[in-house]
Amino acid sequence: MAQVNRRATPWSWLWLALGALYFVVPLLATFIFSLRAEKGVLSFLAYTHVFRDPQFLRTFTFSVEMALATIIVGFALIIPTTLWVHLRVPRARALIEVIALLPFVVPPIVLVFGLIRVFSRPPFAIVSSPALLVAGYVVLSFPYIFRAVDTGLRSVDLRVLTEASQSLGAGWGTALFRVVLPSIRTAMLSAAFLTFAIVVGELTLAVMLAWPAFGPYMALVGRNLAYEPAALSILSFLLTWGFLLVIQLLSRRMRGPGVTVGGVH
Amino acid sequence: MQDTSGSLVELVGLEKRFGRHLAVDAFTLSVAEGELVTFLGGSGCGKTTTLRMIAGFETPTAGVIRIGGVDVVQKPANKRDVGMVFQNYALFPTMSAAENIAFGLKVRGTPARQREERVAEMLSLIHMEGFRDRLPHQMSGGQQQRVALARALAVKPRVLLLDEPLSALDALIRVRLRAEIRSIQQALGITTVYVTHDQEEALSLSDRVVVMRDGRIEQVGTPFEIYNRPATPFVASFIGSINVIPATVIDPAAGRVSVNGEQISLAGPVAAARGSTVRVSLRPELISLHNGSPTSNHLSATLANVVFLGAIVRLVVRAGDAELLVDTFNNPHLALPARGERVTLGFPPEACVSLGEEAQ
Repeated sequence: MAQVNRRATPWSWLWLALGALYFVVPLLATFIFSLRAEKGVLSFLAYTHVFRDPQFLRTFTFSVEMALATIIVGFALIIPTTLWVHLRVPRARALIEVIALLPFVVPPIVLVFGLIRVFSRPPFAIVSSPALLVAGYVVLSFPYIFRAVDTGLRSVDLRVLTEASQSLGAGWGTALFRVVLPSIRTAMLSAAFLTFAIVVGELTLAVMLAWPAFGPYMALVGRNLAYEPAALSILSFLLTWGFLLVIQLLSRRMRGPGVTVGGVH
Repeated sequence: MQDTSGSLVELVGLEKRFGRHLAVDAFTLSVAEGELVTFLGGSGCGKTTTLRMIAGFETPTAGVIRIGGVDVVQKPANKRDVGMVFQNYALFPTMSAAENIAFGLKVRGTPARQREERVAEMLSLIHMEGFRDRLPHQMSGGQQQRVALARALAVKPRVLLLDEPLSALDALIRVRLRAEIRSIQQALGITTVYVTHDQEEALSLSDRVVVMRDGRIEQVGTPFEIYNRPATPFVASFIGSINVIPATVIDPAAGRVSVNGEQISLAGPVAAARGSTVRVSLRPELISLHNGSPTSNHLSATLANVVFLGAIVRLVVRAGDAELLVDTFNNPHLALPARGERVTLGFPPEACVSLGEEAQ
């Protein structure tokens, strides 16, 4: 029988190194640039400026609030729908898959103009309400929440789990909240953090609907200052990785076989 | 017509259609209190669908399901008071063995102390006291299925339903666990409906076996009856190895037929006209190579092949056009005939069951 050579060749190392450089060099360059706000020395002055700016905290807090609202509304809409599709209408899954692709195909600018057009006149004149921003964010995060929850549900035998709980006397509510949702909580956590990361950095919807969010703040800083935008980039990068780290830590602490974090692919 | 007095589960004229496909048809059966009845059949024969209708996971297209005399067709699954054990265990992945067992009790609002006592009792019943805090993925398949059984039994259901509970397990564990299931079932006296496609499992576990085919019942009987007195050619061929040989009727009343010109006697009269061809079933283990008993039937044959199966040695012999299997116990001190050698097969009349006239 032929032996499979599992030893890495010099070529594979070369490609790996090139790939790593492609990601690391710009990041490193941005980081070093962010440390050069003070002439002649490397310092965290740009970071100090960022943290001192009251707009930073205000916009970041606003975006965090919007992200949390998006997660709650998104979960309330998408999780029951995905469950229903898995249990009752599996044939509708193909349709949901197509719908889940739409936010990637339709540019956010088209979405926001559509939202403004529909919701700026009676009977749905809510263009000045943050509810419309949340609604837009739910559309943007739909593919991520759906994919993560769908992957989570496919990793457990949903039908059998619900039937097992029903045979033990549980109604639908008990089966959902005590059995199904705990079984996919890592997937839900993954969906929550992905939504969080998307909403916190989102620009188009926030600008067009005129909300003081973190995305427009970063864009504004980028237009007017030199070193602070680099510092903000590094901070948002660290925030994203921090979120991923939190997902991993939480999922490791959770009981059960766990579900692969980041069900989006 | 079956006597339904003392029956806990009654299925009357049960039918289930999936679109145009008739999955279960005219299924009528009574299961007595404390009885273990097995639904046995191949894939797609409707056995699991029937079980799922009893559980409340499928709604019958027609017919009645009574549990304890009450029609439960309109009752949801969680109100039927039946426990179910699934093929792939279906333990809740985020709960420990003890939490899984306690789930049904918790749903029913059983006080914590009673719950704890019952969980301990159940863990002791399945001999898994040391596994109470283990999560499902930290247990083997056999251990998970035992916990699933304990979970189903913890709520003291009136009926226990098991859907191929051993089919995902290794052969050795399967044999051990089926004995354990039977002993627990007998100890608790719980009415049980068991689904399997494994005939050995069905024969070894059941008080009665229901052999199913294409959504219909082929035969209901004790394992002994099913094995030794198959009612239809399907049952005869489905349960164990069997020889089905064509024979010409000589004397219907006396049960005399002719196979390749040699006359043999059957277990009883033949319901076919003189001169017609019937099928006669004959179990391989009831045939011997010796013609010791003068009352035995005899057939001349030629040895075509010898297959060593461990405890059993299977001889393939040819008697005219018919090919027969003959099973003998392995005996290293006994010389077997060589291939091509002429042999005489001996078997008692009781071993020969007429399966009716051969289809034209």
